[in-house]
Formats: sequence, C-alpha cells, structure tokens
Amino acid sequence: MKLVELRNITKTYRIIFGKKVEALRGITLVVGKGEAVALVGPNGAGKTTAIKIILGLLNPDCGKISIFGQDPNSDIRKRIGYLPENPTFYRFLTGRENLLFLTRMVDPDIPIKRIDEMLRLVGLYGAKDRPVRGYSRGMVQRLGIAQAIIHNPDLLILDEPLSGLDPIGRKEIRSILLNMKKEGKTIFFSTHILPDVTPLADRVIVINKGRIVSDLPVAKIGDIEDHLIQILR
Amino acid sequence: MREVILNSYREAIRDRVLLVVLAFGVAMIFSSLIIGPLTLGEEIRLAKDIGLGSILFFGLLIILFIGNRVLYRELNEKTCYLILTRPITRFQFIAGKAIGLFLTILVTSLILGIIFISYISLLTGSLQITAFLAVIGVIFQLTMLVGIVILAATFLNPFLGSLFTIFVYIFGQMIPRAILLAKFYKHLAIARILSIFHYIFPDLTYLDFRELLIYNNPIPLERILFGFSYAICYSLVMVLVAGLIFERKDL
Ligand SMILES: Nc1ncnc2c1ncn2[C@@H]1O[C@H](COP(=O)(O)OP(=O)(O)OP(=O)(O)O)[C@@H](O)[C@H]1O
Ligand SMILES: [Mg+2]
Repeated sequence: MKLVELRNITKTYRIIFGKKVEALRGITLVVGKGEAVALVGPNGAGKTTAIKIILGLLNPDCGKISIFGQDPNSDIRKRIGYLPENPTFYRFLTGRENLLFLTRMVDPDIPIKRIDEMLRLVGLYGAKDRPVRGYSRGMVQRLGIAQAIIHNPDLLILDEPLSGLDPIGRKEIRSILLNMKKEGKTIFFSTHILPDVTPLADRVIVINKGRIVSDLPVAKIGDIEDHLIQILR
Repeated sequence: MREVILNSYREAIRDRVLLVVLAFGVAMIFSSLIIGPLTLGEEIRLAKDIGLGSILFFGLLIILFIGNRVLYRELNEKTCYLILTRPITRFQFIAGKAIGLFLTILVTSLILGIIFISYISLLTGSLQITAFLAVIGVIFQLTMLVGIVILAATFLNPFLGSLFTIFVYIFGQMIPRAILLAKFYKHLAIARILSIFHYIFPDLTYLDFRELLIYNNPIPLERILFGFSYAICYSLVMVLVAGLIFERKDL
C-alpha cells in the first residue's frame, strides 16, 4: 500500500518583481507502508518544499498528491506525525502546555500522564514547566519530536529530525525512531547527516535542484557519501 | 477548534496592552466627573456620550493592537505549521482565531460596559436599560470590526492591516452621509454607486444608539433587531471570505 504518493509535482515560488524560483521541477515519489525513506540533497534542493507540499502547507503548481490514498487536507492527518524544519511553539506557554495543546487537537481525551511520559522519553521532563522561549535549540527540537510521535501516528514525516541535537540526543532520538520503525510505522525524513541515513532508512532518494536524481534501496548504495558525491558531481 | 479558540483568547487576554487599554477606558468613563460640572446641568448627557464612545474607541484599539497580531504571529513565527497539519481545516482555524478575538472584545467591553451602566444608573438614580442596549450595540459594532481585521490579516501585515481596518471603518462611516448628500443635490448616479459600496463596507450607524441614549429616547425594537442581525451577517461574511482566502494560501 502506498502511504505517500507525489506525481509530477512542480512548485515555483514567486518573489517580488516577477522573479521566480523553481523549487520543484516535476517530482514523483512513492513511500510504501512500513518503509523508512530518507530524502537527501544539498541546501536549497527542494526537500522542505516537497515535505510541505505533502502536508498541504503549500499548494503545488501542478501534479497530484495523495496520502493514505486520500487528499492531504482530510481527516487522515490524525495518522500523520510531522516535524517541521526548525519547529516553533508558542513562546509564552511551557513545553508541557504546548504539547498538551497540540495533542488535544488530535486526541481531546489524552491523559496528562501520557504527556509527561512523552516529555520524559525525549528528555524534557525536567524543563517541562519552563516557557518555551527559554528553551535551547536542541530542546525545541526534542519537543518537536515529542509532538510528532505522541499520538502514535502510522506515518511520520520529519524534516531534519536530528538537526540541532547533541551527540547523545541524536542517539536517543534515533533509537526512538528505530523503535517506531520496528513497530511497523512508516517514516519519511530529510537529512543532511549522512551517518544517520543508513541505520534508519531502507531507501534513499536524492534530490538536487528540484529534481529527483536517484532513488535506490540502501543495500544497493554502499557508502552513502561516495554515492552522493558521484551523483551530484 | 475549541483549542484554537481558547488559545487565541488566552494569548490576547494575557497581553499587557489589554490592561493599559482597560485602565484608560475606565478612566475615560469617569472623566465626566471632572468635566461634567463645567457643562451646566448636562453631566448625564456628557457621561453617556463619553462613556459609550470610550467603549467603542478602546475596543477598536484592542482590535488594532492585539487583534491584528493573533493571526500574523501564527503565520510569521510558523507556529501554524504544527496546528494546520493536525485534524483541523484552515477554515476552522480562521474561525477559531476570530472567535477567540471576539471573546476578548466581549469580555473587555462587558467590563467597561458594566462599569459604564452602573455609573449612569447611579447618576440618574434608575437602572438604564437603554444604556445596556447601547453597549450591546457597541459590542456588535466591534464584532464587525473583528471580522474585518481577521480578513485583513489573511493578506496584510499588522501595520497595513491596521490601516486597512481604519480605512474601512472611516469609509463605512462616511458612505451613508455621502449618499444622503448625493441624493440631496440630485446626483442620482453617484448615489447609486455609493449604495453599492454601502453593501460592501460596514455601516456601523445601524448599531449606533448613542443619540437615542443621550436624549433619553427608547431604542425602537426594529432597529435593534435589524442592527443585530446585520452585524452578525456582516461579521460572518467577513470571516467566510477570510477563510476562503486562507484556504488557498501558501504557508
Ligand atoms: N518561501 C520561499 N520563498 C521563495 N523561495 C523559497 C521559499 N522557500 C524556499 N525557497 C527556495 O526554494 C528552493 C528550495 O528550498 P527548500 O527549502 O525546499 O530546500 P531544502 O532542500 O529544504 O534546503 P535545506 O537543506 O537548506 O533545508 C531554494 O532555492 C529556496 O531558496
Ligand atoms: Mg530544508
């Protein structure tokens, strides 16, 4: 079953004075159930744009999107966990209040216990009652992970899940994600941190200048760094 | 959607600007105590005039200073990403923001309104039902402005949004008078064009009971019913249009 499907998506940003940036030039990709797929590529390649389009935050110029075989703007979003690139929260609320607010939108009867459990899992329990405005970059990232997985979604869409984290944090979050993968969750994530690709991903999609330039199972790639250098040269 | 409403309400009500505005509002309502004696027996009229005017004016300030930002912050700081990827439609999100802002206005106007009505009732020695209705009229005027400011926020930044709201407000006030003038001078074509604008821009005069209150005339029931339904419809249409614009917006 296809959980995410993009067909021939193009997206052009219009900047002032008629200037345009072609961020995506006809992207087709499919993520199957239970797969873990990494999206890699240089800065400005179009990763974030593609992810926002999957979630319906951006409208594509042309092309078709479906998630769980449906329109992204439907109730299906209960089953999706999303981590934006540089997530932001309400600065005047505490980490716990933010998480509670966001989770209630998916599950109005979520027990407080579950919120605290999640905060403990991502290592924020000690800071849970501090306003988010006082959080460090890595703490915000951890809260971002927490809000993406707390409702136990079937599909995770993560834009650079491990950025901003210290080495131990990266290991912790990676193992949380590996566990979710073991539970049969589908994971689609973008990353710049190549050593994080292989332990987690089954398949690697390389995107460059708005086009997909390679889409291969990890087993066929060998050393991922060499692979990238070869393709992008 | 409940969460969005509560959150935008909470954010607005916690804003310090609100306290300042409220304090000034209360001060204004009682200001007739000082100026009143200068007016030779017109204290009560003056108190009614200033009091009602203050509720409208300070409500407008809250809408311009706080109302404008509730949506902008969400879009600018990208907190909306986490909300709009949850099971809530963009339309519900806009409606939630509008209702949250409306509740803020309702609470602050009611606080000022109750102080105002009690003050007038004390001055006149009887409970002032007309003052109460006039306050409700002001709240409905503000409701329409909430609709306009939310609409503006879907495509303008707070500064331009405030200008837009003020412009629409002033234009809305001018049109009915301009129509009368045009008719008086027999410029019927102009009057007709103006009456098209009259449908688009808010006509707050339908809800303005200030003169009736000042001169102690009762407010006719038809005016109340018409005014209230006009305000409700107008605000709903504004939020609807805001929702339609927001629906297609790239975030
Ligand atoms: N809001 C925007 N307005 C104009 N141009 C944009 C906007 N967002 C992205 N772009 C442009 O679109 C292209 C793709 O950007 P995108 O953010 O998708 O890249 P990315 O692969 O996520 O990069 P990074 O690895 O740095 O996160 C870039 O050239 C970028 O400058
Ligand atoms: Mg990016």
